[in-house]
Amino acid sequence: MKIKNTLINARGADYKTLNEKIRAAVTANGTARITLDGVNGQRFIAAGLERHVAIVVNGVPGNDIGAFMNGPEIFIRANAQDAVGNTMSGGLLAVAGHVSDAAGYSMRGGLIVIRDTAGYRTGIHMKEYRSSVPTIIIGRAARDFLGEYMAGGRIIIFGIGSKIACGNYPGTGMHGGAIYMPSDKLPSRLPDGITSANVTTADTAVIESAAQDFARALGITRKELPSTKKTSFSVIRAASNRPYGSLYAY
Amino acid sequence: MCGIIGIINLDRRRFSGELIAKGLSHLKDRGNGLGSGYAGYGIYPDNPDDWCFHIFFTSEDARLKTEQRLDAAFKVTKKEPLPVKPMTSVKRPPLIWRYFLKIPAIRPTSTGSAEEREKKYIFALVMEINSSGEGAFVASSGKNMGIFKGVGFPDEMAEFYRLDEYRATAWTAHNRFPTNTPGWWGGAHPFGLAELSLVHNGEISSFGINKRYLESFGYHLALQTDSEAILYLFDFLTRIHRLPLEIAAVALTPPHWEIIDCLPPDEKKLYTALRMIYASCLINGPSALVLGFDSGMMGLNDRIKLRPLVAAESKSFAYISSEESGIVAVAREKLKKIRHPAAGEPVIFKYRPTKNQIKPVTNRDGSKTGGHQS
Repeated sequence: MKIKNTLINARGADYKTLNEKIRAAVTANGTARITLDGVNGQRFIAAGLERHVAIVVNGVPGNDIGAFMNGPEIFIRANAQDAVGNTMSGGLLAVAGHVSDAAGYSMRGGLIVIRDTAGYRTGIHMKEYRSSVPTIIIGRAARDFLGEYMAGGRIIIFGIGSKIACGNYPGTGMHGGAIYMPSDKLPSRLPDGITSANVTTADTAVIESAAQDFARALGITRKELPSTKKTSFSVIRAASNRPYGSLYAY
Repeated sequence: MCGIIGIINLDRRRFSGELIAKGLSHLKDRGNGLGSGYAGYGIYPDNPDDWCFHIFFTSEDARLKTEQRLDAAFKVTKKEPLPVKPMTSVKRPPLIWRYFLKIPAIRPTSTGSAEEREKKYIFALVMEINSSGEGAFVASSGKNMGIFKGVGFPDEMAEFYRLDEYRATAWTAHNRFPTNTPGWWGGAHPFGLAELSLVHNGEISSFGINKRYLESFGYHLALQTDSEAILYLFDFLTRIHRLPLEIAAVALTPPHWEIIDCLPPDEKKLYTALRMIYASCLINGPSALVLGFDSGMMGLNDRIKLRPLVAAESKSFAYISSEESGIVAVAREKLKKIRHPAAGEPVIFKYRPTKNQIKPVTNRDGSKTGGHQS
């Protein structure tokens, strides 16, 4: 079956007009793929969309791309700005570049794939519920406060081309979920309330699956990522069920 | 929220205010129409050696009183209402005047170089006017630069001030979303003092301690915003304490103690000293800023990166902005080196030295080396 492609020229359009065009294309019968050309800074692209549709973004999208979405697969062929996938529930956001701060903010489900570096506070307030487990996969590294206040979900960093997989204070305030990275690329200091450990067989399966998802989303081969057989990975988790129980109790 | 952007031509070629207005207008959603403004460097090539004051007056009476002060303190070479375009969307603008001023010979008892003495003189006058209670506020007070700001959206302020008629070697700009204080003409960014200008996105919880510290050195904060304090901290550190910008940036946004503890001994000593001496200069809270100065501009984030800031370069331009898309919107050449500066990491762009500006520098040991531009 031939996939129907809708081309939208975003050049100069404000975010409201652009999103109206996207929504009109999504609801039209048969549209399975939308290409947005000339995107530059328009916010809230595909926010709240609940249909399974592929959206290709040519240009730098504005803040909050894919916010609250549940279903679309978005491919960004440039860097992205702040709050990529803010509170998204399902679908895919793949970025062939760098993302600025707070990617996956309050993410509840779905997958975010970032080829290069993710900015500060990636995965802040991520959470999971039963089968809805959000995942963020990062090729190179993340900066400070990775997984801040993280309550669930998974973050996997491969550390490609970087001496260290994340900046200072990863997992600050974390009380759920898991952060994976190569053991030799762990930051030298970890905050109170979290622990790092060698991965288990189950953890390795998670990392292997992430590597395959990463390669598929960005159109690269699995071999370009570290092997789970040859690379030693560590996992960061909350130190207990209630690591901050006594924080404000005197 | 607020949006900030700066564009500099590294070869000192002047370019139209239309470009910065386009960039700031691209960030329109970051403000709410309660303040926008622009600072241009190199805009007055016909009067490059005069101090130029842009002043807001709430009344004719305020203007006359302030002009008495100016007449007493300076030789006024030229004065005129700043050319503006009356617009229905721009509500109740103040009286806005422009003065070109020369400083009379300063008493030889003052210390410092001639430039430092002049800047001290300007500082005293600006503080006097702003704190006089007479309804006059100095928007800018540098040489060959000026600040154009007020209550309105970016495109409205650019049109109101006829920004397309000015050409600058560097522009900075700000689109305001006031959160803690009213949006008013004097409280719009950029803030200016002598050659320094500042645009700031954020709010500083250290305002109280910064303000008290500055007041002990004669600063008066009259503009009802915390951003004014940041400008004065830079003035204090670079002019009075003669710190290089990079070090002044550390004083404002130093690393955390546990990070300092892990540094090599020399750096540890430096950062410890800076934190102890300049504890009251530390700015806490979300901040991204662009500081404009005679020879370039600097971008700086707060210590834990609570606001966005992106920098980029092209063949002859450099850019700093809240959003990468803002840079893309104004880039005339292919962008290279797109950078996302780390928390507290200053990004400094300076004009390249031109041939006749390269002078040999005498080293401490008496030898001479190729030289560089200050």
